[in-house]
Amino acid sequence: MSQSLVLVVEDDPDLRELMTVTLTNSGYRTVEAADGETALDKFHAHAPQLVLLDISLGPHTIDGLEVCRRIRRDSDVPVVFLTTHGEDIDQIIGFSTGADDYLTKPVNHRLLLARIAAVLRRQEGAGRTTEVTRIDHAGVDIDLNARTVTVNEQPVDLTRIQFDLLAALAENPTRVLTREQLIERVWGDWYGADHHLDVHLSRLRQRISAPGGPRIAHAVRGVGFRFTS
Amino acid sequence: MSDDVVPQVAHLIAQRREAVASTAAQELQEASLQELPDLVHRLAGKLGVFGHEAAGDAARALMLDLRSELPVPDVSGRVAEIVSLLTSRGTAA
Repeated sequence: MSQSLVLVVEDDPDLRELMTVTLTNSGYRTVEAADGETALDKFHAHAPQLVLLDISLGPHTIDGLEVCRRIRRDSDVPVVFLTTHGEDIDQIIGFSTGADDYLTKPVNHRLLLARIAAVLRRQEGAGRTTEVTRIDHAGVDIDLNARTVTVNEQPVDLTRIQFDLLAALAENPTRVLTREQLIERVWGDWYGADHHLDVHLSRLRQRISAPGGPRIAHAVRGVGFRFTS
Repeated sequence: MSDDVVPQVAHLIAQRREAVASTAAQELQEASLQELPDLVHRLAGKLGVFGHEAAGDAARALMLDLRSELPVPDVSGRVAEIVSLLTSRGTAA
C-alpha cells in the first residue's frame, strides 16, 4: 500500500499541508491541488492511485463533485470525498458522482490513513476478482470485468461501494450475508458508523428497482441480508 | 499505520495553531455577509484540527444556521463569539 500516489485536493493550505504530511510520513507519495481545474490537470499528468477530494473548493473554481464527475468519465481510480461535518451525507452519496467513500472534517489523521488504506485495499481486491466475469440473476446482469450493471437490459450507474455490495450479494443469491461479512467484503478491516451500510444499501435498492428490477438486499431479521427475497 | 506519524503531525499542528487562530479571527472580522457562509464552512472543517474545537463547533453551528432558510438572528454577535474563542488566552496560544 505504501508508495501509492495520492492526489490531495484541498483549497485550504494549512489543511492541505497537514494531510500531505500525514500521508507522506505514512509512506504515501502525494501531489497537491488547491482548486478543481488544477486537480484535473494533475490527475491526468500524474495518474494517482487515489484522489482525496474536498467537495467545497471555494467560490472561484469547479467543486469537488464536478471534479469527481470528470474523473469518472475515463477513470476508475478511487475517490474519497472530504466533507464538513454537518453536511448531508446521504445527499452527497446520492449525487452519484462515483465517489468511493467520504471523510468528514475536521479529519482525524489516524482515521484518514485507515480509510485510505481500506479504499486502496478494496481497489486491489477488485482487481483480483476480474477473473470472474459475469453474474446474471433475477434480471440483474453484473459484469465484474467492466464493473457495469444492467437491469432489464437498462444500464444502471452505481458507485464503487454500491457495486461491491451488489456483487457480494449476487455471487451467492440464496445465501444470507451478515452485516459484518458485507462490511468486511466492501470496507475491509475498518468501518465507520453502522448506519452507513444501511444508507448505501438503501441507495442501491433504489438504483436497482428504478428500472423495474427486483427489491434486492432483502433484510433477514437478526441475521443479515440476502440478494432477493 | 506507523505511530511515527503522530509526532510529525502533532508538531505541525502545534506549529500552526496560533497562526491558524489569528488568521481565522482576522478573516471573520473582515468578511462581508455574502462571504461569511463560505468562510464559516471552511473554518468549520479546519479549526478543530488545529486545536480550536470550541471555535470550530461554533463555526459549524453558524454554518448550518446560515444554510437554513430561516432568518439567523445576531450573526455579527455569533461571529464575534467565534473570534473571542479564537483569541482568548489559552485558546490561540
